[in-house]
Parts: sequence; C-alpha cells; structure tokens
Amino acid sequence: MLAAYLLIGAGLFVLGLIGFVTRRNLIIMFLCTELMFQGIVLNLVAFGRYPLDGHPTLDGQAFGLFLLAVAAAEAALALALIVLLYRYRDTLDPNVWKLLKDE
Amino acid sequence: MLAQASTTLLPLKLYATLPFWPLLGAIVVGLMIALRARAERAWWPIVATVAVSALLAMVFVFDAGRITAHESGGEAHATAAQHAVGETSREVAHAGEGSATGGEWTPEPARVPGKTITLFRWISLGERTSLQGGQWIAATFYFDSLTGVMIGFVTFVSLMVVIYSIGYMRDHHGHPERGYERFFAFLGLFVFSMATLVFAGNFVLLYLGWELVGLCSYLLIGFYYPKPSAAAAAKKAFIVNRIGDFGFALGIFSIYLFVKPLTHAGENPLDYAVVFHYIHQLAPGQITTIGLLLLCGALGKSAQFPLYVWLPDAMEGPSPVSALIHAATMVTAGVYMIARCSPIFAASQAVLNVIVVLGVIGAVMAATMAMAQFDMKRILAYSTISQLAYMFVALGCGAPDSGIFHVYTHAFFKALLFLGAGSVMHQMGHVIDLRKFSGLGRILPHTRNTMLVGCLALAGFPLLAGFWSKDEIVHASFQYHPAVGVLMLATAAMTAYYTFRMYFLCFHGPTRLPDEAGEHPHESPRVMTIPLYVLAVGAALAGYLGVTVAGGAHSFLGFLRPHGLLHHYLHGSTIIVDENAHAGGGLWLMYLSALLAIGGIAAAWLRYGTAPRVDPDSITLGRLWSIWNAKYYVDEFYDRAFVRPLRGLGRLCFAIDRNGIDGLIWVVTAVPRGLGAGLRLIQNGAMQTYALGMAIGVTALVLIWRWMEAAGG
Repeated sequence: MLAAYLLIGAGLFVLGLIGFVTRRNLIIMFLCTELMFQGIVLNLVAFGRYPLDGHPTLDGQAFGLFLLAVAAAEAALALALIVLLYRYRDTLDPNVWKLLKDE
Repeated sequence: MLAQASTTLLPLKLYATLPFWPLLGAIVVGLMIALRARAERAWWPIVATVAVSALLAMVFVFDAGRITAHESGGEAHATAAQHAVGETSREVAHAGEGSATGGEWTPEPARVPGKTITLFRWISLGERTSLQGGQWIAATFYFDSLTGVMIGFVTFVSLMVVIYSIGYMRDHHGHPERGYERFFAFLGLFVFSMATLVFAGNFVLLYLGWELVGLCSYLLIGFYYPKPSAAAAAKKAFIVNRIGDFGFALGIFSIYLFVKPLTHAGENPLDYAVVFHYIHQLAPGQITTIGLLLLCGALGKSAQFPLYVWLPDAMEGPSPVSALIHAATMVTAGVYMIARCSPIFAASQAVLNVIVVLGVIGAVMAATMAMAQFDMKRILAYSTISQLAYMFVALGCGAPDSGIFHVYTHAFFKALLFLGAGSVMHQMGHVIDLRKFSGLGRILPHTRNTMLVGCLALAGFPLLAGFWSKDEIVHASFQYHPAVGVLMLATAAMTAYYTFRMYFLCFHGPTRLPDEAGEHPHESPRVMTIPLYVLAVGAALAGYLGVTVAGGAHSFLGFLRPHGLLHHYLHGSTIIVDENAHAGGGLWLMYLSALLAIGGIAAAWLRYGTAPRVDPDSITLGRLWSIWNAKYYVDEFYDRAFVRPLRGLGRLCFAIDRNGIDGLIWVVTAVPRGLGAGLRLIQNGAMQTYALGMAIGVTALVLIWRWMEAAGG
C-alpha cells in the first residue's frame, strides 16, 4: 500500500513543480507550491500509517497538521506579497520581476 | 703653555649647537606658515638664528685655532697633558695610542689634530660581538681650524644674504612676494645643512649634510616652481648632483670596505680620524679608488667639468639663492671635502693629477664661456665654475691651504656680485639681459660702487682679496707644471676681461632701461645695500688674513708677503700641504698677474667702455665667439649622448611594462573573466529558472547519492 501513496504524493509534487516552472501567473504558481506541499504531506502521513518497521504511529499525522498550519501562514503572507507586486506592475507575470539579474 | 691654551672661550658643546639654530628658525617659520601668521614677519626667526650662528662662529674661529694649534703640537710634545685635557671629547682611540707609547712618537703622515664631539649614537653597525654592545656610527662633530675657516665665512656670508633677502623678496611697494615665508624657511634649512656638512666628524654625517644641501638647492632653485624653466633647472641640478653623489656614496662604501679590516675594536672605520690614521696602510690602488670616487662627488657638488652644467641653469632661482649657492652653502662643499680629505688625496698622485687636469679644463672652458654671455647672472655662474676650478687646481697641486684661502675670499666677492646683480635685476623688473640696459651707474650708485669692488676683487686687481688668493694658486700651479701655470695666468686675464665686460655693459654708457623697469627705477632699499657694503669691505680686505706685512726683497710693493695668518691658522688641521708648492720666490709672478689683471680690465674698457649695443667681440671673433656663446654645445652633447638615450630606454621599459608584463597579467585574468562571463548567463533574474535549477540540482544530488550507494555496496 505504501508504494501507491508514495506514487500519488510524488505525482502531486511533480505536477506542482511543473506548474510552478511553466505557468506565467503568480497566483497559479502559488497554487502549484500548495500542490507540492500536499504531495509532501501525503508522504508524511503515508509513512506514519505504514512505517518501514511495521509499528504505526501518529507522528506522520502530527507533522502533516503542523505543515498545514505553516502552509496557511505562508499562504496569507504570499498572497499579500502578490497583491503588492500586482499593484506595482499591474500584471501577475513573474517575468517582469528580474531584479536579481546581473547587468 | 700649550696645555693652558686648550681652554676654550666657550664650551665645545655650545659650538655643537651652532648648526641647529637656523634649523630652529626654519621650524619656527614652518609653524608660522601652519598658523597662517603674516608673511611680512617671516624673516625675523631666520635672521635671528643665523645671526646667533654667525656670532658663535666668530668666537669659534678663535677657539678652533687654539684647539688645532694645541692638538697638533701636543701630539709631539705634551702627550700626557693632552691625554688629560682631551678626555671629554676623545671618543676615538687614535691619539690614545700615540700617547700610550710614552714619548715614542713617530711622525704620522696623517695628523688628526681636531677635537671630536659626540652628539648621540646614530646608526648601529649591528656587530654586538665586537665591543661594549656593538659598534655605532655616532653623530659626531669634528672641530679643527679648517672647520673654523669654513664655518666662519659660511655663516657670515649667509647672514648677509639673509638680511639682503628681507628686501629683495618684496616688490617695489614693499609687499612680500608669494612664498616669502617659504623662502626664509628654506634659507634656514640651507644654512643648517651646510653647517652640518662642515661640522660633520665622519663620512656618514658628511654625506647627510651633502644630501641636505642638494635638497635645499633643489627647493630654492625651483622656488618659482610654476615657471617651467625653474622647475627644469631644479630637476637638472638635483639629477646632475645625484650622478656625483652616487660616486661619493660608493667612495664612502669603499672607505668602509678597505679601512674596516685595519681598524681595532672600538674604532669607527668611517670617522675622519680613523680613516686618516690608517690611510697609508692601504694599497695604492685602494687609495686611488677611494680618491676618484670621492672626487666624483666633489665634481658634482662643486660644479666642475664635466658635471658643471647644472650651475648656470641654477640661475633660475632668486638671486640671494644664487649668492648663497655660489658663495657659501653649496659649491664650496666639494672644495671643503677634498681639503678635509687631503690625507687621502695626498696619498695618491694619480688622483691629484686628475684633479689638476679637470680643474684646468674647467677653468679655461668656463672663462671662455663667460666671455660670450649676456645674462649677468650666467656670466657670474661661469665665473664661479672657473674660480672653483682654480681651487681644484690648488687642491691638486698640493696646496689645499691656498684653495681654502681662495674659497674664503671668493665667498665674499662672489656673494657681493650676485647680490649686486640681484639688486640690478630687482630694479630692472627682473630683466638681467645685458643687451637690454646700460648706464645704470647713475640710477643705482650704491650697487655700482659695491659691484666695482666685487669686480675688482674677482678680476684679481692688486691689493684686493681675489688677488692674493688667486696669485697663490697660480704660483702653486707653476710649481706643479709650467703649462698649468700659464693656463692659470691666461684664465686670470680672461677673468678680468669678462668681469669688466659685464661691469661696463651694465653700469657704463648711455642710460637705457627695459620696459619692465617701470617709470622711475631707483636704488634698492637700505636693507639690501648695507649687506652689499659689508661684503664689499670683506671683498676688499679679506685677503689680508692671508698675507704678512713684512719688508724685504721678496715682498710685493716692498711690504706685503704672501702666506700669512690664515696659512698658519690652517697649518695643523687635516690639510696636508706639499711644501714644494709654496717653495721659491714668486715675486715676478705677482707683478705679472697684477699686470694681466689690469691689462684685462683695460682691454674690457677699450672694447666695452661705452656699452656698445652690438658686442664687438662677436664680430671680431666670429665663429669662435658663437661657440663660446653656445657654451661649447655641451648641453646639446649631453642631451644627445645621455638624456635622449636614457629617455629612449625609459620608453622601452614603459613599452615592455605596458605590453609585455601587462599582457601577461591580462592573459592570467582572462580565465576567471571568461568563466564569469559564461556563468553570468545563468543568472537571469527569472524566479522560475532558479526554481528549475534547484529542482534539477536536487534530482541530480539524489541520483548521485543513489548511484554511489549502489556502487559502494
């Protein structure tokens, strides 16, 4: 059973990564990061339910809840940042922000 | 009797402060500049401190004679008493050895009769094993009668020049020139340097003074540094001196190298006393090497052939500086050094011959060049070279006392002439070209009167200062070789001729003025004319310290005989006189040289008495005159032979540095630069590229980890 959960988790993560790298909309990109989060959380919960030594614990679920809380805080911050960025350039395209480029 | 005479009027330590007074003055003026005090007052610290030095020097002249008479006599007679008296000052063991043998005194060729005063330990020689915590070069002063003569006229003439400068460095309204206070600070430093040079008791301190004098001359010749010619002249003086100083430094090194193995523990191989004591134990080749190298330094400093070229250009400095350089504080240093080291030079006839040959060349060459110049100060500059060459001939002929006598008389009349020329220049609006003015005698009567005395003295007119000293040199040169004597006499006649050519062109004939002189040129202020009169008295009477009033068949005009007080005074200093140089009666020579001087003046009167607008000599002599006027093209020759090749070498080195060395460094830096240029493309600022890079990196790391785990088992 563990392999199936892990495959779904990996699938979620890779979908999120592809979305993050290819989309041109900051909000979508942010949603993709959430997708990657959920892939990771699924891994944690799966390892908690089907640990390699055969004795299930609640540790994985505890970590999963903890991560959700962190993700919620991060979502609040990131959405606020995106709103600010939008106000500066009137677009959600991340390619207008290239301040780290070497001139 | 001699032992009692050794008590000096003032303590020797007090004399040792003599050089430092002008330095103090210079520092005070420097502080005044820093505190932005009013420039008009800048003269007083220098005048006051140089006056203190001059007063000390006047007293010192008497004491130096006593010291020398006592020490040189004492070595032969009262050894024990001398040992007791000399304990305070005797740092060097040389005389202690002489007295320790208890009366078995053998006549050392190199007497060292002065007193050495140690100021402080200066440079460690780094040999802790030798004696009492290692050997030191101490800052020592050496006092004997030669020091006395030199310091006497140096400080006196400097004082006159400094007083004169109070007035000279102002415009017609009495406002000080720009840099007035700087000028006085440099003058103070100059006097300090020269006094240090004269007082120095070892070659290292001598070298210090030697270089300080060179530095001060650079600063003062380039005083009008915004003027390109002045800046170039200053550089030229400094660089030409550097060539000589290089040889001088090598000379000092070779002294250390050769004398060091002979010395005992506790003896400093660079002290005069030690060097002169051991000089006769050196091989002839070693003495010649030392002599020639030291001579090299003297040629540069005393502006002798072939290193004289800086002196005429040095006229770019203010006139008091010229007076100071020519009379007191610079060019006399070379003559002094050779006289001081006469135990070394006397030991090598080859070096003496070189000195005579260079001296004769310099004397004749400079005198001929002086006859065809129009710049008053340049005429005087060439005359200085010629007169210094006289002194060199005297030194080479084994009559250094005559050379020192001539330095001493020359200081008075040459300072007088330069200050007089400065007075003319000051009133003519800084024009010094003899073609642009004439008949100034009516406008500048005081300058004219004093200049007349100076010119007569320089020309060797009978009974004035220059006559006595020059005649002695001519006499010594005849003893050396008749040909040298004849050339010296010819130079004497030329000297009289060009001096009075200058005098007549300036002060006689119809009154013509340059436009720069303004509406009503007038005589210089008294602060300038009084030093002129004082120096005129010196120029007239200074020579009488070198003659004896005595009747008899060998006396000039029946009552004056050469070889006077000054020679007795110098006798017993480090100067070694070849008695042959003074042997024989030279009475006919005195009358002959008097005749030549008067003849030269008369010839100048006939040709230039009316200050003609066109130089008659340039017509009569034609090509020869133009060669003289062009100074034998020596400057051009040096330019072709040395300056341009060296500049070419400099360009070559610059090109190698630019293309070769820099190119190599460019290649080395190209590697990181190229790498950076490639990596810079990755950093494009786009967040998604970074994210992709991170993802690829993590994947790669995981794969590598897996692969390594699989490979490592």
